[in-house]
Parts: sequence; structure tokens; C-alpha cells
Amino acid sequence: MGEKTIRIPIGPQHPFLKEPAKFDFDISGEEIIGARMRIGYNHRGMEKACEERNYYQCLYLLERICGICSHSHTTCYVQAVEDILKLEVPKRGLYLRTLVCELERLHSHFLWLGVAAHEVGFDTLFMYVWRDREVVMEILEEISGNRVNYAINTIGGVRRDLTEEQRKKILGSLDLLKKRLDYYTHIGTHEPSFLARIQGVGKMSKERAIQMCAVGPFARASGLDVDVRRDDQYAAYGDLDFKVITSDQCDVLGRVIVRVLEIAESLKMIQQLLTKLPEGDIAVKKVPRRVPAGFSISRYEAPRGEDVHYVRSNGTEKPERVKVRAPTMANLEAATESIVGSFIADIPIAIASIDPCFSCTDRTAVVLNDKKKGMRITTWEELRRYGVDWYRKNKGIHF
Amino acid sequence: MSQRDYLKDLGQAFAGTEVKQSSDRRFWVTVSTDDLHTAVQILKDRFSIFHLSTIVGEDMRDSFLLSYVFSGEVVVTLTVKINREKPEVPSLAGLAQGSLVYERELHDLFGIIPVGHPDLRRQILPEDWPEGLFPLRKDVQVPRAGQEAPKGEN
Repeated sequence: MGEKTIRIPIGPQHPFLKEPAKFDFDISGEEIIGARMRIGYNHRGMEKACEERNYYQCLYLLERICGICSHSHTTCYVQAVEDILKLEVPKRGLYLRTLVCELERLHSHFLWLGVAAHEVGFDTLFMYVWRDREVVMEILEEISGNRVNYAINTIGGVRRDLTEEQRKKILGSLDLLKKRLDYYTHIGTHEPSFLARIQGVGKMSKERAIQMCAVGPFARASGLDVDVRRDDQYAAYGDLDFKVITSDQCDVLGRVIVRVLEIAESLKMIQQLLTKLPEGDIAVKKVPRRVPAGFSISRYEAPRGEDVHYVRSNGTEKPERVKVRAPTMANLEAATESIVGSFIADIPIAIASIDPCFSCTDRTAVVLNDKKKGMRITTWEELRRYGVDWYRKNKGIHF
Repeated sequence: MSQRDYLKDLGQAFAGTEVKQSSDRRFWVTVSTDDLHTAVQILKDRFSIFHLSTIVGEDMRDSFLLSYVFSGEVVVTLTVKINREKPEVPSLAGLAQGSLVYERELHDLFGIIPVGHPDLRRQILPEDWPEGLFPLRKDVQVPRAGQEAPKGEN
């Protein structure tokens, strides 16, 4: 560190990631010249805990890894167990599972768009998006009985069937979402104030994204054409017609474009799933409690990217090893690096752009080491306001 | 589905080692620690598989088993068996930078040392976690109610 460099530690108690994470930023003036991260503050020892539980108990434990993509983790896990058991899941079960997958992606992307708008001070968009996200949440509640942690997956299929009225109701709600989405697509890609805050921020080149093994919308926004739904087809994705959205922008704008267009693709997929929904059973009738010795790797495209589960069974009722690799883990290093070169005012939107969880954002503590005023502790909310004010004063961006 | 016969091609590229297929897109290659770098390079050059999805660590009781999950058109997993007494494995730092986080995780939870890793700070466990206690090893028991859980000084 040179003489004029100041290190700002951010965190760890500010779960803007799924887990609370601590970032150290080296800054010179307004520019960030170095970034490091430290995670693990929310490590709950779930992988070890799984070794002590039977396969069904593990299912409900893994559901609680994350509140936003709970369905991703259970789907990924049951796919691995079904693979070891050589179970053939009925078509209707797979369709319903995929339906919840895509609804989850919808609500996650809507949530993210709202958070991104909030971070740059565009609260009108934030309110609009979160209002419309309620439509998706209500559909999920209608299907599963829960707004989060849907508990719809079981080994060998799904637990709840869809009635004809529910099917019609969901199809009706889709029209509203489609209409609203056109407006968001326009705002996200044309609104000049919004663009001024996100264009050129959080740069990540394609080459670096490949080297850092980035995944999901973050990688797709850097021009990487990767999507597990197409590359390693699972559930009902083989029957669906959809496009993989990529962007060559390589910045936060690219991530907005990718996610907004993915919402449109998800809506298309949900429509196809509901119109093509086959008749029949929703789950395998008899699933053995003991799983024969074996191992399997399952991949899943969660809203944030590729999710990987590894399960090794030993012939008993309990797994020998369950390994979970959540998408944020893969993107963490890359996201940290992408912030280098931006301004302090860009930290909130740049970190938010990998789509971490913002459950308790206002508990963020940033320590600004100011020589004149001494150590000063500020919250994430203050940092956000600082960013919004800084852009207003220096660049004239005002919503 | 791809036209390429991966099982045959992988068998040729990794002659002398065990190559298995468990389903359509899942291939397993057993390599030794010395050949790990070469194997990763072969996957990259001859099969264009360079995305490291994750590294799975397992305690097999008599040894540790590391599975390097590489995904591209298909998923090729390189499994490496390492000695429990001398848990060292070459780091993939120079070949796939994405491996750094997973190697740090293994170092924390299994005590496996990735030789050549530039930054082995604690990643998951607290800074004051007892030295030499690696929670995912099979000989570490989960504390029951009434038993004291491992913790640091603070």
C-alpha cells in the first residue's frame, strides 16, 4: 500500500451476500485500487449435519440453505439422489418441478432488479418492481402453500399437484407480468439516469470471467454462453423452447439486460409448461429408504448461476457425504475483482450486481478511516446515500 | 447430445488410468497427484473443458479423495486420492484461477494443503478456531446436546 492508499473494511455483519462477507477495499482518492474478501461468517456446518441425517431430513435441511433459491438446492439434491437410486420421475412431476424453478427465477430476478434500482437511488422503479413481484409470490403460495421454502420437492417427484383452476389462474397472472415487463425492459435499457449509473461500472472481461470460472447471469453478461438448463438438460427443460441470453457489455448494464431478458424467457417457459402439462402421477409411488452405495454429481441453473451438489451414499439411510457449491461462491472472487477501478460511490451497485442476498442490508458497517475525523463507522444505508449524493453533485445524475 | 464419443476419446487421452462413465454426461477419470496438472491441461487443450465447477473433498477414512469437477459439453471429474498422513496436492492456481476459493475451503475443512496456493488465509472457519481441528474429517464428531462445541478463545 502506498502512502495515499486507505483501506476500507466493509462488513462482515451486512449480509448483502447470502452469507455475511467482509470486503477490504484499498482506495486512492475516490478510486478503488484493490479488493479482498473474506466469507464464512454464516457457515452453519450443513454438510457435516447432512451426514447425521437421513435422506428426507437432509432434503428439508438443504431447503434452508437460502431463502431465495431454496427450490434450487432441493432440486439439485434430489436429482443426485434420484440418479443414485435410478428412479424415473413421472413427467408431470418433472413439469411441476420445472414450473417452480422458473417461478423462483422470476421472483429472484424481480427482487434483484428492485434492489439494483434502490442501490442507485431509483426508488420508483424499486417500488414498481417489488409490487409486481408480489404477483409471483402469490402464484408460488398458491402452488406450494409457502412464499419461500416451498417444500415442493421430494425424492422421486413433487409433493403437491396442480388443479385445473390453479393452472388457469396462473396463466391469467402471466399476462399482467408480461405487460409490466415491457416497461421494465425499456427503463432498464433506455432511462438515461439509470444508464449513467450502471454503464461501465463493475467491468469483468470475458477472458477473466473464464479464468475465474464465473457462472450464471454474471458470466453471461460478460459474453460467456453458458447455461446448465441448455448445456446439461435436467427436469423438463429438454421439452421447452427457450433462448440463452448473453450480453457483451461486461458491466452492470449487461447484468441488468441479461436478467430482464431472462425474465421474459422464464415467462415464455412457464406458459409452455402450463399449456403442455402432461397428465399422470406426480411422484414415484414407493421410494426405498435405504440408498445403495454410489455417488452422483448434479448441476442446476439457479437464478444466480450454476449450483452443484455431490452426494455419496453408503447403502444406509444416511448419506456418506453431501457437498454443496452455491453459485455465489463461484462468483465471489470475480465480483471482488470487478469492483477494482470503480469509485467508492459504485460499491453498492457493483456488489449488488452479482445478485447477493440483501436480507439485512441496513446492518452493514463501513469503517471509513478519515485522518481529520478519526475512525468513523457508517452503515450500508449511509454508503448508498453517499453514492447517490456523490453522483448528483459530481455527475448531475438525479432521479 | 454431442456426436463425440467421449468415453473412447478420454480413454485414449488418459491411457493407463481408469476412465468410467456413470450416465450420459458424467465421466470419471482417476489420476495421481503428480499427473493432475497434465490432466487439467489435456482437458483444456483436447476437449475444451476448462470450467472448474467445484472441488469435492471426501474423507474415505484411509485416505482423502478429491474430485475436480470440470464441466463443458460433458462433465469430466478428475478424482485424486491423497495420503492421509501427508495431505498435499498441487494447487491449480496457474491453470484455473477459479480453483483458489475451493482450495482454501479444502484447506479449512479437511486440512488438505494445496501446494503453490498464493493465499491460504482462513476462508470459512473463524480466525480463532482451534488449530488442527478439521470439521469435515470423519473422526470429528458432531457435539451432542450437553457436550461442549469446539470454539476459539473469544
